[in-house]
Amino acid sequence: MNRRISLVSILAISLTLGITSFALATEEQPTTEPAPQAAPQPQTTDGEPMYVAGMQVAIDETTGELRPATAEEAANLAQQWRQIFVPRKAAPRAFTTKSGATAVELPNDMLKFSVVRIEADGTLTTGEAHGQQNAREFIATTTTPEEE
Amino acid sequence: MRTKHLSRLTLLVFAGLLLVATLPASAANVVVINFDPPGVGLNDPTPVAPVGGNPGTTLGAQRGNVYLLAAQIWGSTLDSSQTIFVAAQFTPLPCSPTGAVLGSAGPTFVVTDFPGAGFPATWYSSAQGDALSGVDQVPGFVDIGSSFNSDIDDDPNCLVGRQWYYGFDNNQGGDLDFLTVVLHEINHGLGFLELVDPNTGALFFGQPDIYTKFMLDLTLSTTWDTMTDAERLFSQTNSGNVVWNGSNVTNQAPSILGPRPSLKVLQPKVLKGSYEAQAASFGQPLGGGGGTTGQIVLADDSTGVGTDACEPITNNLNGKIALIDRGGCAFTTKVANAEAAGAKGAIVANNAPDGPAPMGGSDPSISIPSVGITLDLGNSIKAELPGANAKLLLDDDFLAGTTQDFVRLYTPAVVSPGSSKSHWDTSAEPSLLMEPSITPNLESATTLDLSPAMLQDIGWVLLP
Repeated sequence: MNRRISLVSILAISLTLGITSFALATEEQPTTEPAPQAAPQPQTTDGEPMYVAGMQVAIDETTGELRPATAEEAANLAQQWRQIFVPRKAAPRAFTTKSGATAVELPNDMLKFSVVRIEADGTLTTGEAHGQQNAREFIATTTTPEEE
Repeated sequence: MRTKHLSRLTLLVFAGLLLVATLPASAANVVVINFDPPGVGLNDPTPVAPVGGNPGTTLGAQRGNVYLLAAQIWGSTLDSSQTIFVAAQFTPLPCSPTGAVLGSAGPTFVVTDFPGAGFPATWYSSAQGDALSGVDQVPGFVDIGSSFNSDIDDDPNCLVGRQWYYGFDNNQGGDLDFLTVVLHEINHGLGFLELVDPNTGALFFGQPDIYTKFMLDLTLSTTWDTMTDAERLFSQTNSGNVVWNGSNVTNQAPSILGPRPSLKVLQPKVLKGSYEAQAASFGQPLGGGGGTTGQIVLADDSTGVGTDACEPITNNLNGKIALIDRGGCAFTTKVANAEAAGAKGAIVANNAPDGPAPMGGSDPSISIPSVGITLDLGNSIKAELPGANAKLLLDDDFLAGTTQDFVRLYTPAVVSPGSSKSHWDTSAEPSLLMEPSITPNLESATTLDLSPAMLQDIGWVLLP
């Protein structure tokens, strides 16, 4: 469990750009279950570097409210995010939000996949594909635009 | 029971790392959430030298800085009281020595019938739904997901010889400008996309998205939201005739787009007029005003298909404009042969009915201008030879990438899934951020060119 927690531990460095101020974490967080806490909200403060760390938030199955994610949930989510190339088998479904709107989670195969290939003359051809299968087809294609 | 469907979207933040752009109070707050574990991706500690204005000294820091600059650029463009959450990740994605998936991105949710929606029964991106309603419509979820290929930097067998470029200065050379790609992909997530099924023409969940309301087919004289499925299937390949019908884009286009590459036929009278052409990516650039004028002569290399100019040309083209058929060899070979035969310019007629010949390639030894034209125009000119005179030029009377003054959407004759419809057409000059390909003449992605106007058309409020 503690190893999973380390998945969401963070590193921080501080940098300041001329137009943008921000901060990144550099120190590893304690490898313990996080204490329940309200979901922190990002804020900006007059150009001061902004740092929000240790946020592990999930939607509670029972209450529907945000709560800190457990280590197991965080690990599961990380794994699923990494499987973005695995199309979701279940069809997307509509649900009603708290404000009364209707929402649908877009399936992975509706994401835009930005792709590139190197042509025979060394030039790059970039493009976009619809879903992972189309993306793989694009990068496997060997035609060159300047040739007939 | 929503947690049973835990996915990349069911988490607001777990990676514990936020990159927050500091912006004017009225600007949208675009928060980039780092989903990478320690030591990799956005946290990669590999030392690197600062590059192109990016002060990061580790690979992870440079990647994060680019994300953050993109967030700052979009945040300083849009007015929203609601934070826009962008999930960010670098991870190994499909790659080979010659091809790679750069990344993937898009809205995580679409929402409809929320307070403040411009149209009922219309899908909006999650970020726009939040902005228009002033409420986080799907709290606890990121608005835009994005993931980029770390192997381009990390795997020597991935896209050999090319890497991500993390500078801010558009000086990527032969590498891949990460800032351009991120700006482009976030734009999709903000609403620059349509959700129509490219195989059936069906609307998403039976109702239009806001983008389709501005997709006008000039042949059918109707917009995509009111078409039948069959009409949408026709329209998605109606090249050159599907345009953006939004007043902000149309009004701004003249300040963004340049004159149209054209072949102006001066004689015979029956063909007199200005025809859209594809400027070559090599040779002398087309000029405005006078352009390059001359008599058109059909090239003949006396070998195989004699008009393809794939071998040295045998007829006299001295001071003429060579007319050449597409096929058999590279465009650069054809034009080089025409120049060697004395031509002052060259025209390549397409060999298929899908627009002007594309005229790609590179050959610094070529010094004459050349253009591609359609199969139909090529045949019409051939029927009038001898006796045809024409001018190759940038025609100030027309804007590149437009039809009837509307900016075109990318609807090639053969559907290109992922690229068709949700981009500007590639005939735009100069190139635009939201074309399907990153082209060398994209002058600067950071200006966002027509993208803010497009977002304004669909209902976003822009900062002054």
